[in-house]
Amino acid sequence: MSPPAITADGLTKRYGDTTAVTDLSLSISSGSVYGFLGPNGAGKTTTMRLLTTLTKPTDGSATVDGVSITDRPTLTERIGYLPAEPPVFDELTGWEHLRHVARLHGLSDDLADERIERLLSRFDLLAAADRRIGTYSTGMTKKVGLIAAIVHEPSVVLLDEPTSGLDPRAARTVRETIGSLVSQQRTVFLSTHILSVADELADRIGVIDDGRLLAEGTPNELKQRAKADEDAGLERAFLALTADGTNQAIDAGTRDQ
Amino acid sequence: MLAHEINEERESPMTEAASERNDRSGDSFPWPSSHVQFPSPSVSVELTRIELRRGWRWLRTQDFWQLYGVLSAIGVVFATVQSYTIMLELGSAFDAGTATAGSIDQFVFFCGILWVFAVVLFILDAFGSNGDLTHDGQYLTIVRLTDLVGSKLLASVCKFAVLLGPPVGGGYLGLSVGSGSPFPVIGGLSAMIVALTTGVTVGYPIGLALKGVVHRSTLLARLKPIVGVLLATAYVGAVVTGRFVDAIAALESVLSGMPFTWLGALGLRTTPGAAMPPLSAATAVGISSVVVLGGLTIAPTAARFAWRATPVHPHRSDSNNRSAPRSRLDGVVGLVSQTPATMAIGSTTLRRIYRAPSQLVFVAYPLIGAIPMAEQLFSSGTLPWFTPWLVVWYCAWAASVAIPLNPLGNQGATLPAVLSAPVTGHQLVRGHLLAALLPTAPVAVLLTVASGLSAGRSGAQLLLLAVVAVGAIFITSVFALGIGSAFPRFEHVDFGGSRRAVPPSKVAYGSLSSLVSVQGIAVAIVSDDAVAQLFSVQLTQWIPFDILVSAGQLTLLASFAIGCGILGVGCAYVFAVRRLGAYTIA
Repeated sequence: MSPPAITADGLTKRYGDTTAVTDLSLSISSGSVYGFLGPNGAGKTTTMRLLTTLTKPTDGSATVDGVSITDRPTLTERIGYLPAEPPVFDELTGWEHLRHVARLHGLSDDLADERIERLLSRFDLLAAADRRIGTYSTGMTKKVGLIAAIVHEPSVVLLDEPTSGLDPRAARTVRETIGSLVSQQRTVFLSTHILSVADELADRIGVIDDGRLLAEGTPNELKQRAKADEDAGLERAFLALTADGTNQAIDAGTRDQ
Repeated sequence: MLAHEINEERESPMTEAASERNDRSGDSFPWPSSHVQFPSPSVSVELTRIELRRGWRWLRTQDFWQLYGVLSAIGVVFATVQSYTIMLELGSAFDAGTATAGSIDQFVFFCGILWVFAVVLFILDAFGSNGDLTHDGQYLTIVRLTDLVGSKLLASVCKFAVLLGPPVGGGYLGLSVGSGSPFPVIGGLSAMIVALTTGVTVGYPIGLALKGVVHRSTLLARLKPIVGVLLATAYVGAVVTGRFVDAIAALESVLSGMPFTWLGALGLRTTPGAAMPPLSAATAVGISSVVVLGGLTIAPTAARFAWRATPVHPHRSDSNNRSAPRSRLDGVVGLVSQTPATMAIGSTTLRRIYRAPSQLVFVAYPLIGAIPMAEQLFSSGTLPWFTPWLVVWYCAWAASVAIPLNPLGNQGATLPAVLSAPVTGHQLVRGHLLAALLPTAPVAVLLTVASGLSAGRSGAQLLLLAVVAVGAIFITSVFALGIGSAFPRFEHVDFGGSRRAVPPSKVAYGSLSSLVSVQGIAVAIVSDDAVAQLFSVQLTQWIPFDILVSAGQLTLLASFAIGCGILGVGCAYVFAVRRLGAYTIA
């Protein structure tokens, strides 16, 4: 059993009277893909911000790659983060932006350029590398954001909707890239609304709604818990888990595991 | 009006849409078809209503443009008062029967200037982002392009009527009061309607056609910002040197002749005592009808030319370069950067400002105050003795406001990437300091020494000024980082199209400006006896109870302020480092 790459214990984030994340406890193995599902406003992005040091927890604790989320200088060397809105500068070319991010991570230009060229080629962006990002399509911008998240070869990669806005070929490349990261014993924390992606890639899935982790398990376990039907899809499981009235039962069942 | 009502009003919607789709045959100039169509008033009005409402709601979120609006309003009020005063005299002269032919000629000439001014405004409006078609995929499948063009023209007229209405209205109010009759207002209203409708139907097609040309040319698209800056510089230069007035005077014979005389005749036709020929006024109305109909016929063609062009990407490289880009900027910044992260912050900040110079617009306001000095320089070849100090102040203030005053907001969408990267507060601060110092220090030295020479300063003083200029940029930049990291701003200002900038917060802007001014005055007092004497005299006059402030006391006080400033620099640096290093997103 590999050591956990991400742990959370009672992680809570409140904004005034609103609680975005409530008593979240997680343990995610190294070298695995953890699918993080939930409806809009469920607390997925806040959780990712907590795990990437972008926001401070109100209560509880968490570690990523063995480092506390309150230790930004150490933790940021080990993580890569792709927010739902790719963090890019429109005024820079794709290559310039990626080199900028690589420098922020302390990479030398030679090493950065070698990695950037390889990743641009993998994502079929090399021909557009000297164009300004402002002229890119949504999918191309998303690819640049994803490359920026992994160019420094982090131990843990947190991806928020990495395949949204991508064409089927690019989405396939992203899925292959996630598989490649896992094969290198890197951990991927994957938030997505595209359930088929989570079903295909995730070793385990957590379902969050209203700030609470409702259920957790392998895709098949979740399908079975949601309805005693082996052929039931993840979508049906997701809808059942996040529907009012069924949450408590599923939650109880999950926590009993 | 709802969308389905719009649909009901247009003629053969499917045919029109299909016809227009078929017209999209590429970049060739779309000559008008033999079947001339005019905008539907009801549809155009509805589209205009939405356009103006969107514009108004957008304006309410853009404090920079609100400030610009306030400044423009001050100008409009000033022009209104001026025109009221001038026209009051003219009206009184008409009433007394003492109006000369010369004063009427001047009025006609002014009408011509006003018309040309309106046409230029409409050209710029159409050429700029207001002439773009937003949501084209929606609009072009719902309404006719002709109606869209009609709405653009109408919206533009409405906007500029707000700008031109008060001065014209104020002028005619003065003319009515002076002449003792309400009738001049009728002529004025008619002339203004004629000027605006003919101005927009002449100017808008020209602006749209220019837009189409630029959209099709990589070279023009690339040079557009440079041409814009050159034109603006030429305009300001012409105003400062008086050439602008000379140019207008040279046009007097043209603007005082036909057809502008007809517009002037219409404007004064209802004024008692003006005795303008009715035929000229009627001709103005008749000609304007022809111009408007002609413009409405041509405008859709120009719009097709502009809107259906496939915009070239001015920054798209044709080299198909697939290797790592090489940059001299990176080389220069790298020479003085200790870490790749510092270099990344410094070089990227500079590169973004160079490629999106709209960020620098916030430092342009004080330059308005330099116009009188520029006029003196052109007229006498010398500058006031205090000019070098003003140059030092401006360079330090501009460098710190433009670059380091919003270190968090400048990161924009990339803030999560920066904060989740192992970048320390020191690296963020040093990167911004490099970005502030590298381009501005040489320029500041050059400007300070040049102004010092023109102001008759000695060699030693020039050296002192140069050193002070560089030091001032460094110190104010550190202050800016401290203040800017305490009061970040993330909302951008929209300059039209994709040009956006994130200005510093108003608190940061005001705080830094005050601080830099106080420190600048203190340094000037300590360094220059003449400045100390000047402030001593002024303060003694301003302070009540006959309290005397000697130059020596003032120098002591200024030294104390400088000492506090030096301590404050350290505090600002430490605060910025801690704040930037530990910043979290709410």
